[in-house]
Amino acid sequence: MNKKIRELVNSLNYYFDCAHHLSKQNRNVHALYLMLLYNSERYKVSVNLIQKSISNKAKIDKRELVACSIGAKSNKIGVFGTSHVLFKESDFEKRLASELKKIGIIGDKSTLEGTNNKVGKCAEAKAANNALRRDKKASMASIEFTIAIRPRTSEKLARCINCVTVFGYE
Amino acid sequence: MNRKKNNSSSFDLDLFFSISFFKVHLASAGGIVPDKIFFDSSHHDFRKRINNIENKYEFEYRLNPELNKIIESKYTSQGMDEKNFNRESYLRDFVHYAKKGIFSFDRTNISDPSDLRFHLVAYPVIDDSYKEYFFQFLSKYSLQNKKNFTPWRILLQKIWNITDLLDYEKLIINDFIYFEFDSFKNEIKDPNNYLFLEQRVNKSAFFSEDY
Repeated sequence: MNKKIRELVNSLNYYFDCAHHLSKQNRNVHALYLMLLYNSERYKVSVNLIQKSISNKAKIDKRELVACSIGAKSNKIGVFGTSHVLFKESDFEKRLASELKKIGIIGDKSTLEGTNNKVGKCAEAKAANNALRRDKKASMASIEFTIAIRPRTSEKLARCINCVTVFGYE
Repeated sequence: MNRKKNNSSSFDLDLFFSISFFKVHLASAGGIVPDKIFFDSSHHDFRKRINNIENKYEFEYRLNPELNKIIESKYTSQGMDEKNFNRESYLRDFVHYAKKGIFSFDRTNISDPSDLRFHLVAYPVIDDSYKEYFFQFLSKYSLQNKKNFTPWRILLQKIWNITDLLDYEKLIINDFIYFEFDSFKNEIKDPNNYLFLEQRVNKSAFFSEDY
């Protein structure tokens, strides 16, 4: 791979981690939301940079924007999650997996009517998983979410029926 | 993770299609896209060509006159209010493609990934430089890529029984495409041309088996 392209890929990975997988302590939910907006702007810039230079052989999750990202807070820890990977059951914390299994098999369409979303696909599930993994004492009920956004336009996304059932209303 | 899995609902893809001499951009916004389109890397190649530094063309653009109504309907369906919605950042990508001579669409109901209805956000005001631009940036791709060459290919194969079309590239550009372009000239310069495109896109012709 060309050296310049490798540098770009590395920078993209760095920003992607900053935007979506970094945990922050002592932030309130609104501060997390502002961070989410700011980082999604930076993430978009670096994805555009990659799109201009990288070949079509690069993995699709490195060169396409994710559809949804969200921040979550449990006790003192703030984390982020996106819709970009479909987790298996073993990837989820047991507490969360048992809640998710109530609405269907993880990775398949949910048994609930009125939605076509797959169970465990949503950004909420990834963010909650991140929070529970980093804060073992946290309970499911103590997790607070920011507004979910679409990184391309920074517009708000409504919570899907699957997530309303598992995590409650916004 | 299986690389061949279609996880299109995780991504906000840029998809590009042609309707005669118009180019259309669709932002998938987490919509479930058929395998045939999801695994087709030509969308990425086309975007790369458009965003190339050499592409210095810039057209005037206009916004869909119905856009405010559509955004208001989003307010209720997505539970948004004015605080969560930044009009400038919403329009940025779509305006970028309109400036590059492409009719730019967004998926309307982004809460439901299986709903593939689109609305026009921004469109270019096409002037005389479009012809030159089209053959330099927009159509070259379709000539190089045999996959997306089907309508002309079928016609050409009727006329000449040939196997390798690329040898005939010059011939096609000089005679065939220019002739076709002239017949579409009035349609391209029609200020209401976006209405025709909106109808075509909303019927989701791209996602049918005929694509």
